[in-house]
Amino acid sequence: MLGATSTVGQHPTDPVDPVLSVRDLSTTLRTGQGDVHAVRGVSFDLAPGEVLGVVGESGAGKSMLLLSIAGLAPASIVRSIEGAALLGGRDLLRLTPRQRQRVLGHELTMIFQDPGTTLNPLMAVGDQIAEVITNHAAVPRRQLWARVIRLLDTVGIPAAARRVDDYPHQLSGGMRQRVGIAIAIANEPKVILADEPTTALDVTIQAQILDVLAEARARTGAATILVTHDLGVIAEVADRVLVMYGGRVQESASVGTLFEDPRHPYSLALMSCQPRLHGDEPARSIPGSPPNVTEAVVGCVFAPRCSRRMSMCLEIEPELEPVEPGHPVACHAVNADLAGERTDVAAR
Amino acid sequence: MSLPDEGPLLVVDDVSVVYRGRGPRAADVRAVDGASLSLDVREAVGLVGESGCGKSTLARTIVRLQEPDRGAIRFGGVDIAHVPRRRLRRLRRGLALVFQDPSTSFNPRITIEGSLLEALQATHGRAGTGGTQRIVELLDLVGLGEEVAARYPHQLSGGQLQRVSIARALACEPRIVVLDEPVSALDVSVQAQLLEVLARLRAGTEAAFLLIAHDLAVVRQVCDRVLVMYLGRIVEEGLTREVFAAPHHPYTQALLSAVPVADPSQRGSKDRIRLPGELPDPSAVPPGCPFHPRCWRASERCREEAPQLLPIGPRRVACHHPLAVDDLPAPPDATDKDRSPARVR
Repeated sequence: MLGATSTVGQHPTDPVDPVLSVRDLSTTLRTGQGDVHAVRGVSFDLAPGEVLGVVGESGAGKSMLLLSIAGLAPASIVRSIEGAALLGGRDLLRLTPRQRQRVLGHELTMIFQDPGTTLNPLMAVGDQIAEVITNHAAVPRRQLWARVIRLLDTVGIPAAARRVDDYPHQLSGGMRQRVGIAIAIANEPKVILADEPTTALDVTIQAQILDVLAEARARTGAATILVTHDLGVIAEVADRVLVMYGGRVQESASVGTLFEDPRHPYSLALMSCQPRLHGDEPARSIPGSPPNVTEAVVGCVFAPRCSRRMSMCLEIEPELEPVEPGHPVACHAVNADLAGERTDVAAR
Repeated sequence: MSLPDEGPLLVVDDVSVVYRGRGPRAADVRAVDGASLSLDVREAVGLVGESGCGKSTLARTIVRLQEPDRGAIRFGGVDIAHVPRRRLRRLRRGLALVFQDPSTSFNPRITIEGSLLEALQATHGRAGTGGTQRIVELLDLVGLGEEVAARYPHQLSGGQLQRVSIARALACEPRIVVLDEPVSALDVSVQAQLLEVLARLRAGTEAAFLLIAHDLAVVRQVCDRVLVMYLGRIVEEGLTREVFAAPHHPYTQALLSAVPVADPSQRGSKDRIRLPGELPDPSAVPPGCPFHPRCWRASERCREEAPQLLPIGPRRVACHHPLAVDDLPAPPDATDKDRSPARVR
């Protein structure tokens, strides 16, 4: 059931206007094996200052979701992007290239996994930060430079005044990611899209960068969508989580709820995949491999790998339905559990 | 190969590796500095540390892809660090190496069967390889079906290909398998599959494993014993379970504490240590204890005198001010692990 809509995590009583509203976002890519439905009917609201974690295996559609919102999905392979992504009353999916240039790097910014490939190797890092600022506002040169140094200082680059003249290759991976964050927060964005920002780093540096991101959020009040495959990072940083599989949101909940009471069999399987630092429980793999959603989907995309598969799972794709307020899950087995509980209560 | 009945399978004794700086101003880099370790039959030992700490160099030196500048590597009664190259080939049969990225360690124009056959022939000669039958057995050991044999490397996924590279390592019936970051390029679920394969192999083969990884949880899953490296030196050694529950070296504690805990209820409650700065330039190792500029327990002595790796109980620790067991916060233990599957790491 392609393009099924439902609004994830939207509380009817939520008093705060969302800073970003994504509605029924679907991205289809052209590939040698036919069209791939990379993102299918994803909807969510992002509150100001909130950190929304997006987790799932490679190929779940996490990165394509971010790239679609930012308008950075490679045009050469995009067949179509449908739905809406509303930021300040404008639909990001319907911007002209010129309008997009004004939004990107200003209200909406992106942090990538490896800033070694996104920074310009021929330009000093200070100039690259200055460029992002002057692209969106006229700032006198002296003030500009002070601001660049202050930004490098905010992201924890020691001796910032001297490092502005460094080129990316003179910096370590951790330092380059700090520069990437400085560029992302230079214009005090409303929304930061971070795609695996710490995956390429050592744990000690990862911990530092997560602190820097928290500090940057505190300074700018920006909301963040954080894509990662690491549930540990999610547990430490996110307020709310989307679990994605096969291009769709399979479960969404506050971070506390997701870790205490995960419902979707995929969420559970993903959690037991992660090797543990303590205890005797070994990591358990999920049998099979993630799908390439090339055709119209029949049934649940996770069904072939699912331990709770029922016959209807192979025929009807489950919709996201709340198991409790603010906790939607797309699973027939979970729905059956709930129905069972309700009958139990009624019988008593 | 005959082995001494007594003593460890492999002994690395005071090995140093220096990469010579090229050019007039380039300094030498001491990638491994006086590392000593031993490996027993059927044992699995992990080597952990940040990028640039010398763990891969040490692994490559053990299989002598890298020449050591000092020290001895005794394996099967021979010092392989000093045997002539022509004798190395025979000795290497007892040692196998699995690389991080299998897509760069297979010939793209040879089928999987061809690659495995090559490994078998290198060990047993052209005859007596056991041929197809043996190849099917090897693939089965790593959980792959025989249909994989006819495929080319690009037709397999990263996880499948990494399993083939383990099968290839096992083809020479090694006494020791050295695995250099075998799972770090893989997705979580595939990583779990590979960890399952390694656990099965440990139970089913005679080989000992030396696992290099930066992911501490991976080492915890596979290894009985762990060695922690910092700037080319081994700073702590002990049983994985004990080291992870109560580290003695401040660096080990900092590493463990940096691992994100997949339990939001522990957010902020953990006594978290944030190491300041990054690994120093290995061509300019700080004097004294190499860790002292980042260490919160460092004293005057640490700035001047490098600590030796000395026994503390069953462990070895290189620190002037080791953490005593009662200094440590209680680890997030397995006592209530049945609470939820999310209580991982």
